Amino acid sequence: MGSDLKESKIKKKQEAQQLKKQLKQQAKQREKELAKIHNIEMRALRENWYKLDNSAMIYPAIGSSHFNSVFRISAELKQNINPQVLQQTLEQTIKRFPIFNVSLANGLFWHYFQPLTQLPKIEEEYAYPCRPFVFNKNNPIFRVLYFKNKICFETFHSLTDGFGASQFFNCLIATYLKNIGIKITDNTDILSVNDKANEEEGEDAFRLYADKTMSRSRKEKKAYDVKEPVNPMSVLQIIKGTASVSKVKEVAKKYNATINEFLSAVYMLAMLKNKKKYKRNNNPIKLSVPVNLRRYFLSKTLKNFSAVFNLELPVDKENSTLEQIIEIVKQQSKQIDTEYLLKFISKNVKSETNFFVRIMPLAVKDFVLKLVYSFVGEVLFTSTISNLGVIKLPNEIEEQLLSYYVCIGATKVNRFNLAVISHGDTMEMCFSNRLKSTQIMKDFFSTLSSLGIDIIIESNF
Amino acid sequence: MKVCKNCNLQIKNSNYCPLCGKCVDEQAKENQEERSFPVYAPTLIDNSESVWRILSKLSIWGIIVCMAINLFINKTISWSLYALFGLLYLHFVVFYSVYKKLSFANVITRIAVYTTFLILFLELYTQSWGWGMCYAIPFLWLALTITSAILMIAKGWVNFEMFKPTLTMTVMSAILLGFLFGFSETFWPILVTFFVCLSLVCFMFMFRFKRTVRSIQKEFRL
Repeated sequence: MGSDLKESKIKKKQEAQQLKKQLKQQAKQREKELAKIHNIEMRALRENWYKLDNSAMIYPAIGSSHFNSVFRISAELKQNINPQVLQQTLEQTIKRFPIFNVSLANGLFWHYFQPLTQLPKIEEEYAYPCRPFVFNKNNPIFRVLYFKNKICFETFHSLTDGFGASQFFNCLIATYLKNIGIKITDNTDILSVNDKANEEEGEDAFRLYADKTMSRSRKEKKAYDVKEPVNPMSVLQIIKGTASVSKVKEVAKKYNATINEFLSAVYMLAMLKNKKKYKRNNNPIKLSVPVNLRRYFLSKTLKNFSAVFNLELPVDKENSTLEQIIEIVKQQSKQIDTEYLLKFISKNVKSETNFFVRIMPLAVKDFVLKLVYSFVGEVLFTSTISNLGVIKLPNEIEEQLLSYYVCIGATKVNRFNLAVISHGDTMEMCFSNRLKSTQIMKDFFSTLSSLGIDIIIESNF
Repeated sequence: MKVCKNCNLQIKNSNYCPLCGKCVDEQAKENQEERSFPVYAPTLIDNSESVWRILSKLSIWGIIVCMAINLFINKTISWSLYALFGLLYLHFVVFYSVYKKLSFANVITRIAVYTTFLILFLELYTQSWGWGMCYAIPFLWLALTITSAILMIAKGWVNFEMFKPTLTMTVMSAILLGFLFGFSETFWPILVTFFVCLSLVCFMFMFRFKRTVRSIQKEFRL
């Protein structure tokens, strides 16, 4: 009896061991199959690619290791950021915006976007804002940073413009707040992570609206260049002024101008004071104003879709008062209409589709673009004023916000820029400055203050 | 909120006015913890960038010194041109590839293009016609194409990054073949290279048609 029991026990043990072996083998096989599927998916993702839109093509060419066109959107919340939740939120959000999870790659003739197989990681802010990106196949061309109660989204301009970036950032903030337990009932003004990515969001809208019969000349006068001692390229000073939208609107109304016209004129006046003081050169002061083309042409694209218009203060009108400068700005702003913008788009698309440009190898193309840009690019304007307008956010998000602002990286030629954004009744005017002097910023804010607008200043220095 | 009397502006989270640099609150030193920006390191030094800069400067100075010595002794810049092209080659192929952490496919493409330029220079400058265009360049391309093919086949036709150098060498060998066909009698090395490159591209089309088409679209932005 005893031996029978032993035998049956041994048999059972053997059976159990066999079963274990079988299960292990099955599991291994399943793992292999899953890995195969995963590899196929990853390979398919790697083989996928996106074209750069028309205006995105200039940025890789003009960039260097010290500088590439980067801008930042930041929001300060009432409570400190939880990095784990933020990472989880970024992973959720990036799936909604697949056109953002890409790296910049070089083709034989053009740059292209290569989808990334891995998810992006958040970073704690440690360096100056808008530090350049390193382009290689594993690096995304945007970064999400956090510091205490602040979340920042920095992106290379080839990926998107201010509008696209704000759409992504708003979605990120809304999802983050939801993830930490804040209920957001009204989702009308922001894209939801639960929605599927729309094909239109990745379209090159420039190509859709370009008209081959239209064109414009790129010939313009050189602009006044503020040649003053500068900080190293990696050092960027941020000077942020916060004001009330209603108060700025009220003052602008007194001059019969829009907020944008009013701020542009005040900015020009500040630069004029600098010019009179130092008289570095006698070129006219020119201000580059980006125009969101989605206001003029129907498009849901999240890629670049903006044009630029240069406001100019003629040399013979440099003794003008603020009122007179506002009039000049108003007159020039009238030129921005659909026809002007169509000509702008068409000229750029024409250059892109030119046969000789198309057959030029990428290295030559980049060199030529850099050369052309040095003549008809940044030298044509003294500074940039970018107004993203009013960002509409649900009340639940607005209640959690302490501040929401944008800053544009300063370049070698344009050493200081101004970005304006409004949310609720708060307007945030953010200077990014590479100059050692802050006189122009001081003049700008002092003029606003002297007109009765209360300004609160904050800086990273 | 503190007020800068000099600028007549309110200052947030700082004891100093960022616009005029004057102290706005000498008595109560504010807690810097409220700042919404980190305290940045004084200078962020990127080692690879400094090495790149040093090597660039050394190269430039090396060339200048070579040319100066050459001019001073021989009154020409004959041999210093070798140094110039050698250093330029080193700079664009070796230093640049390491500095930019280029992929193997990109390094192969760079080697193919820049070595070709270097050989062409040597051949033209020494006026020793024939060896470069007829033998050295075709065999170099052949070796690089075979390397690309091995790397591609070793990974089961998956490593499609190698498509770029293969295509570059196919186009370049077609151009050189056309040139040598009219001007030289020795064109068998370039003919062999061209057929090897072409057959590799054909194999790609045969075995991985969709991927090859997609790669062409990607490279040419079609």
